[in-house]
Amino acid sequence: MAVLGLDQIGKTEIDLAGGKGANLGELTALGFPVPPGFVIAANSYAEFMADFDIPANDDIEDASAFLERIRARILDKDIAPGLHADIEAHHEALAAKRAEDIVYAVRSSATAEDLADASFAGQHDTYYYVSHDDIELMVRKCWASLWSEEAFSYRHTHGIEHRSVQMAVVVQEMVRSDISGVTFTADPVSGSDTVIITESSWGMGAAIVDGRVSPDQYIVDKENRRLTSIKISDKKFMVPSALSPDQQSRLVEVPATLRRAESLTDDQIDEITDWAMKAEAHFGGHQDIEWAISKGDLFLLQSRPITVMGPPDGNIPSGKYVLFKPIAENFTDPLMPLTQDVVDGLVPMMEFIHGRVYMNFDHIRALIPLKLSDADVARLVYLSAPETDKLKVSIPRILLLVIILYINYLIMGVFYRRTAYLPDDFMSSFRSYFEKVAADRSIDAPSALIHLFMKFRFFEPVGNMVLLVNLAAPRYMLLLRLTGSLLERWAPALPPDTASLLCSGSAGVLSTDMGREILDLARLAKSSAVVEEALQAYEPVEALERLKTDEQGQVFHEALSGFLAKHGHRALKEFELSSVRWEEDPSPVIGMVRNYLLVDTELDDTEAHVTAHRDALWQELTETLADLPLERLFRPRLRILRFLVERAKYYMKLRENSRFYHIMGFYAVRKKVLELEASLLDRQVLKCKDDIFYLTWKEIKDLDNGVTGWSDVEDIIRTRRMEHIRLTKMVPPKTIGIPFEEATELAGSTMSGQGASPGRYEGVARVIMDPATDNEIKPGEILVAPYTDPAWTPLFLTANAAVIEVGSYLSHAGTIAREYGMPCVVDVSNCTSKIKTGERIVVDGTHGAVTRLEEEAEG
Amino acid sequence: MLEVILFLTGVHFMMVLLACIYRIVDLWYRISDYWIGILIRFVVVLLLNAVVLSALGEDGRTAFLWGQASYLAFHVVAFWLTRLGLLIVDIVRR
Repeated sequence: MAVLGLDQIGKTEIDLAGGKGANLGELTALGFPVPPGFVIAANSYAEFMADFDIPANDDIEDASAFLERIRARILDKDIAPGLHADIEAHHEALAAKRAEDIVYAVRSSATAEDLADASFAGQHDTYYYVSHDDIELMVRKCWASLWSEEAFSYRHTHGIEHRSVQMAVVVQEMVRSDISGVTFTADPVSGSDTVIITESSWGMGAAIVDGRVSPDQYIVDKENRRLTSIKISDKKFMVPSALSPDQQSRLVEVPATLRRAESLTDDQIDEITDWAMKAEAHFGGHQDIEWAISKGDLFLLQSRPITVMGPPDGNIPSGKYVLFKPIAENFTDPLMPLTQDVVDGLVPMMEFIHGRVYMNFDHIRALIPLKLSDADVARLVYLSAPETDKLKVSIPRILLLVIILYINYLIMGVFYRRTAYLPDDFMSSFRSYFEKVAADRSIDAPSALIHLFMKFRFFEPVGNMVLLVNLAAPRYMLLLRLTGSLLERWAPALPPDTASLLCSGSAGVLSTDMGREILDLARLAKSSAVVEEALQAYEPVEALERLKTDEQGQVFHEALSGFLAKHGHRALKEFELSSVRWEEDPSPVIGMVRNYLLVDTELDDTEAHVTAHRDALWQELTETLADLPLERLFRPRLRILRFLVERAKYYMKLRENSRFYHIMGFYAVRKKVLELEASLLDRQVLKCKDDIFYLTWKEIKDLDNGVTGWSDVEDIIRTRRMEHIRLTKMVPPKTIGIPFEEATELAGSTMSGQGASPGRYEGVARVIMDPATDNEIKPGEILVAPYTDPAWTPLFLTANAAVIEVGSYLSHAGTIAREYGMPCVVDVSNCTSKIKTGERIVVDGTHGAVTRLEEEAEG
Repeated sequence: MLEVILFLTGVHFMMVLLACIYRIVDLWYRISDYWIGILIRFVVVLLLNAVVLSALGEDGRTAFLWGQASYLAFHVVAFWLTRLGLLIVDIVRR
């Protein structure tokens, strides 16, 4: 039979209907809500290709030319009259049931496709919006896709004989979906089969499948069918269910009101989950299901085995590596290919693995003068604390370390002295340097980084060397430790976190100033009913547009412009070149202002309270020291402690403020990339915004110079985009090649981490994964986050404590928490998945522990 | 041994002196506020240098001065070598 209805096909008929067709046929027979359609059987393809004389794999010489010839021939040749008649008959049968014209989705269904151990997913074509008149053309195009370079290469790599693969084509009524998505009945990244993961977004499914949109994600526990996690994304683009006549691109912008709205209701999640479980039960394996919702009705479009389970194995270099925490604690997502390429090679002893920065362990190990196991060294490097208490010293390594430290002292000594006593604004000259480099067209993106961070004149002011200033700042930790040791010796009765408390509260820290300035914007907004209403009632872009015509709105605009002039280079995930800066889109800033408008937070009260507590501590310390010899007379110990504390505060501020400026450097690089992107889009050498970040610099230059064109990079971009999505879902291992056990739970309901800001607080948890899309936190709640960077600072103003999944004492979370005097525990593994919003928890920042009270009560 | 220590001391003094000189550059943007402090530092460092030199014997003085000269040369050469290295990195990356 040349053409079969979906209701005539079973799952065993893969040879006839291909994997996709067979699965859809099976689902139809079982009553699954599958859109009606028919399948052009694989034997039709075989008959069509009978006179093509395809040689054996080994006999194919010039593959590119061969493939081009075959594809051209397939598209030229007419379909047999018998097949044409069958297609017409099936179309008439479907059309009779519809009042309006049917539009089809034409999908390839290769006979080797969708098998559990060899997936061609995405390599054979699918066509949407196909009218009746174009069915046969699209069928031939599907047949031709079997002979694309990608599909050919895949078969060749997997040893599949080209002549053996057949192609069926599924022609199905296209669901004009309002919402579409993909559901996995196991986690394809971790391999866990205890969860069902659903990803959804607006419009047609092509945007999700193609990786163009970040979908919402819903995770359901398979056993009890409870929704355990929701992540709502900023859904910027969609493929609409109907194309307008003048529409050039299928991709359109999602209306502002829908971008951050939940795409699925609870009932819809339940319905999708039910059908997914049924599909899994029937097919007997984990399923990857595409579905669509149109006018409230759910349709299943595809169900196939999940073929990629577990983390990617390939491309991991041999050797031992430790995750570079100073980057990882700022964001946990993999860096984009362009960012990796631009930064690569500039940082010694570092490598990019799966988009994350890792340190070469062997290089570090050589410098540590202690006799420790690899795991203990890794723990020391990652957590700053080996598990072993008794440390044995290695004499040869000490000598090597001393030599290296002395060489470092010779090279950097002058620089360290230069940065020792400078006023708060000594780096402000970097801003004009950044503007100069950004505007200089003779400097390209990678060179901009070198210019800004490493290329300096002999008498360059140290304020222009912001990266080196950042590297000079960790003296803070040494001073803090020394202060702690002296306090332990001289005032043992004082709390163990006294040193941390005394060393916090520096004025002039730019990231804390930023939080205050956002609060000032909120106060200004609150002082005007018009502004407050506009910001709360409309999405940021529309609100700002409306405020332009109002007098008070203009005042707000001016204040916002002033804020952006200073902080506009900031963004979430600041080290990532693809991150949109606040200057380009102030929506996140407006979001934070809006958050303040919803609550009554008085920062002045918070700061006054913290300052009073610190002053009381100094008083107590003075009184405690007074009993020691010579103290009343000369106060030597108090003077020493004040000196150490002031120095520690100074270097901490140096670190934070230098970071403010070196992020500015990254923005200069981004500006240059965006300039080039605009030119490439204009010339149609690139088709979509942000695709440029999936290419290396050389690939971009080749595009710019005409050496390559869109067709050369299209597949590369697509492949890297899909890979990036996959890597984003993967939790990066802390070590590679070194066994590393996570810190054990202290007790069933208590999670351990590192205390980054002392104190104890009990309250309600608020899990926030992305402050751009979810930044509502009530006063008194406890912020639980995967990481934080300065863009999260305003959330700290509202929260009373913080629990962070990846971080360190010196991380942004720790620094800001200490500034605001709130308990904070960092490096709490999996806290964002274990702790739920609304749950009561206790945060003990002094001992680095987080206790879940409800679980404790149940236990 | 004493001469080695004096040599290394000379190295350190030169570092301090260079940092003082650089301070003029680093604080040039607010020189009217800081010039007195810069001057005082410079004078103190020079005086200390002079005191040390005058307190040392001929051999000690030689070692100390060699330490200072060596470090000055090292500082200049290290700077230019770094610039050369970065230039090479920039060219290779292009």
